[in-house]
Amino acid sequence: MTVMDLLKKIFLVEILKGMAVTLKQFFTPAVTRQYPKEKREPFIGSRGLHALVRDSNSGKEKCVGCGLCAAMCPSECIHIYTSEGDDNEKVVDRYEIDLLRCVFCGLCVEACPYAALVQTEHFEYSGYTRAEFYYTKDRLLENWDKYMAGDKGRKYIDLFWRPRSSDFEKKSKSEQDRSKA
Amino acid sequence: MINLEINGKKITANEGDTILRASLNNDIYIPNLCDDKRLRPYGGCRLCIVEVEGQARLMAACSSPAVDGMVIQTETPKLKKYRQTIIELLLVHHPLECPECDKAGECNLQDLAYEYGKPESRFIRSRKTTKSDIRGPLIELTSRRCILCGKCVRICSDHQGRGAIGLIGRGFPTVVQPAFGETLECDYCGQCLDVCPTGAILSKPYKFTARSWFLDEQDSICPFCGVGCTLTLGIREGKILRARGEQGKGVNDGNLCGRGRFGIDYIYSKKRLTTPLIKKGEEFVTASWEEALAHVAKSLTNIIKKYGPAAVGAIGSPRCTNEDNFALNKFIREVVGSDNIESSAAFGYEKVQKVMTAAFGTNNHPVNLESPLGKEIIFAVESDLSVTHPIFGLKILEATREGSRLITADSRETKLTRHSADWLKLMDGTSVALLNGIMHVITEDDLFNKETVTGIANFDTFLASLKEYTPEKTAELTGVPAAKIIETAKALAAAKSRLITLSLSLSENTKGSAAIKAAANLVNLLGEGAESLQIPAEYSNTYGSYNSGLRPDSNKPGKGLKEMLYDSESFLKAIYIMGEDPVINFPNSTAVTEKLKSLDFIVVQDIFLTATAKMADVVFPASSWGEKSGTFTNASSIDQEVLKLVDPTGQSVSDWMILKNLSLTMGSDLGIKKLADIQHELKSYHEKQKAPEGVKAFLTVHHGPAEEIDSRFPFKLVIRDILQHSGSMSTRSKSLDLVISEALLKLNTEDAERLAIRDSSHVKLSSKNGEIYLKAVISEDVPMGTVFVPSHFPYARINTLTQLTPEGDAVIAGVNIEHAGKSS
Repeated sequence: MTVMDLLKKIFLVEILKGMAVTLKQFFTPAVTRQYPKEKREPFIGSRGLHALVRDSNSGKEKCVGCGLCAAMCPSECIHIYTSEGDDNEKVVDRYEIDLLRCVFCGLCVEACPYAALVQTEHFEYSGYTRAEFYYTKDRLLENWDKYMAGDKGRKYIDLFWRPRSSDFEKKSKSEQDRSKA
Repeated sequence: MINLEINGKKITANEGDTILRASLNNDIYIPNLCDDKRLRPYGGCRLCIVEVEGQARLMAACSSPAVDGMVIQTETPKLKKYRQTIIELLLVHHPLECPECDKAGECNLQDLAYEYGKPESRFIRSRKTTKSDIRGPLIELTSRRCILCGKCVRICSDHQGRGAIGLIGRGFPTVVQPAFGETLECDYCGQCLDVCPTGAILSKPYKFTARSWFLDEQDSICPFCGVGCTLTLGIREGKILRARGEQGKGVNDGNLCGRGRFGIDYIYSKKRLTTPLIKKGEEFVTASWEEALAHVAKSLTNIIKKYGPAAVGAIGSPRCTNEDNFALNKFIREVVGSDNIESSAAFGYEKVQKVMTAAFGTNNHPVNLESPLGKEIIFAVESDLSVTHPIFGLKILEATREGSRLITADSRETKLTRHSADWLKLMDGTSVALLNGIMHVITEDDLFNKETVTGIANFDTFLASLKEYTPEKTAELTGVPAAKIIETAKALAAAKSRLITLSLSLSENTKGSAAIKAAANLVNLLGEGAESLQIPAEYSNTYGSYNSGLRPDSNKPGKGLKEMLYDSESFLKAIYIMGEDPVINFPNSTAVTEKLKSLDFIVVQDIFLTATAKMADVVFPASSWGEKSGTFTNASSIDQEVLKLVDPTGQSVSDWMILKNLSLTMGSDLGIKKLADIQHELKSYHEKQKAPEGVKAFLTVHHGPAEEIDSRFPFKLVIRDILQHSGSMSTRSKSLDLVISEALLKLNTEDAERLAIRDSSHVKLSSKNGEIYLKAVISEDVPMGTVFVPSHFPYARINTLTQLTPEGDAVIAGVNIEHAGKSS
């Protein structure tokens, strides 16, 4: 032990250093927020409650029931039931997410070839029964209207839908001509 | 055997194998889209190209024969590049609608595109957009997804012998279609569904119901005919959604007919029984199991006390498992103490067994499903095996492709007659005369095997009985020209190996035990063994149920079906019927109905409320195929496990379990606690059944004319099976109902004109036993003076018209046709 060390011990230098840090924090602004009184603006693309995209033309879901989301889902919480419609088209009878089993990994959104499923920024939901967390097709479509209204949904899809295969999205005429050339 | 090296692995292959076959047999995968082991090499897709040492060009493995000493590479960077381009070209026009296509997940093209394909294509052209052809009832053709490998066309014409679809057009717009783009009307075997490497041919009942990866696939045995094919069933959340065949599995090796593929949805019929029913007055009242069992136990005990156990009889079922039938056998013999038990096999397969035993001395006669292969001559006697046993029929077709000569004797054009070298067009019900005529020629010309016939009993009487069947007389009786009879006889006698085959079913009325006797005589005369006569058992478990004790014991005074249901003597007071519908399925249903009405107590245990069940005092709901475990024994005596795949409908319970519970209610114990107990006991039962072999004998038979055709009933009524149905069970299937939904009567154009009956009009059909009403269809393939009715539809009640002979055969009945409106 040197003399220096001995002096440091006697004059409680380490303690004073610590006190200095504490004192400094008194005068810096706080990083914690008083949630739920204070809320943060969520980032676009944060993985919250699911929503089924509503096709603006038909007013129905864009989903065709291909089942890739259900195939990818690691917690197997997506259930899809399809049948043949009146015009021999594929109709999604039921599209259900058991939210209590969901781990919010976002693989379902990534797997969707038609950009028909998104995760909204909404994450605050609570309930008293399990049934409240069993999202049916209609409730998932409601989520789209509620949380992805206006331009928000289009922006989300533009940013996060990959890969954008030419066959899965109707391109504008000029774009089609460009790819042909 | 030849030796070659593939990817550094030394393998052996058969002479004549292609490179692709040799490598696939040795678990080396070479990508391919147009190859199937049932078909000849086609070389359409070129994906199977391989590099062969010493060859400058790449070779298509599917159409290049493997040669001894070849050194082959199947995966090199060069091959990968070539395959990548091929896939890229295939995908130029192929629509990328995988998310909506049912094939996704099990699509060969998708898999190969995933493995070899490029993320971006160099060729951008418009994709095909033609609409799907959805007109057919069960099969949907989507030509825009077709890659023109031609597998469906080839399997339909080359393997299935049907040729319902073809490649129409040239170049890019080529499509797979029926002729002239008409609606697809075919056998609905669905083999094209299984071979299609893309989603161009899809099943309609399965359409959009589930993605392939949602399915849990399990193998079970088909519940319809005696072949016992293995079905690979797709189940989602406790419901069977589809069936398909998988190569390498079971006796069928991937082949299926329409019944197995589409017909299994009968278990989801809305008419299934769900609760026990007790008859109160004229109405059925739903009851609990306890009530129903107690009611049956009490009534049966009373009858046994009053009239003795011999007053109780039982009918088993060829549709139920061995275990169910054995439990019934134990119940009736041990608990009731009666020996009156039989199944519908009494009118079908039992006759085959009895005749075979009498003629060949052997005890059990399983068929060999491979038997047609390699035979010089195959002679099918008045049977369309491609209808009754479709997969056995396929083997016959395969044999003809490999050079066997098929001779058929049939009154109507069938698939077998179309593929036969010679078609003896005989009149219905005259096969005994034809066979006797053939044997007359053989004996007259001394063409028979003189060494072996001396060892067979009754040869002299038999020879004498043939005297009258001269070719001229036979020609007159059968309608087959004398020259053809002589020619067939000589061909049969000269052949080095031969197979005589026929089928005998419960409902058919054109041939009975006499025809089998005559066929057995022919085999004995030619010096062949029992293996040259192949008669497959009718239903999925006809063979097994016959061997599970469903027949009166020869040592005891037991009574069979004929005594129980047709004898005027009324010893029977109560009957226990399991999985059978005597009122509909047995000949002369008027007599059967009368008999059942006279009984004190009837218990029916079935999956549907059949016509017989409606007459019962108590009806137990049984669980169907797919809802219970057990074993089926197919026509070739192979025990195959049937799995419980889904939950039983309603409160239904396995047949054996109902019998176990009933025994307990009646105060005795069958000694059965679980299925394994029955299986164990059944094994020792089979051991005990083995009897010593007898001697061969000739069985003299004569052509007996069918029931008198007189002026009152001038038409011959012919009842036969049709391809889309099996018994009456398949008529409950929604899918098969889409193909043929109505009972009908076919009559000749000239007859129709004479009687002024229009197509699709309703007519009254009457015989001396009764009358029924049916829709008439005018057709060229029915001979004059004959009407043809398929046997399957319960509501048609065709057996009202039929008659049972003292030998237990149903014979052609004389009938009259009138307009439905007219009163006689």
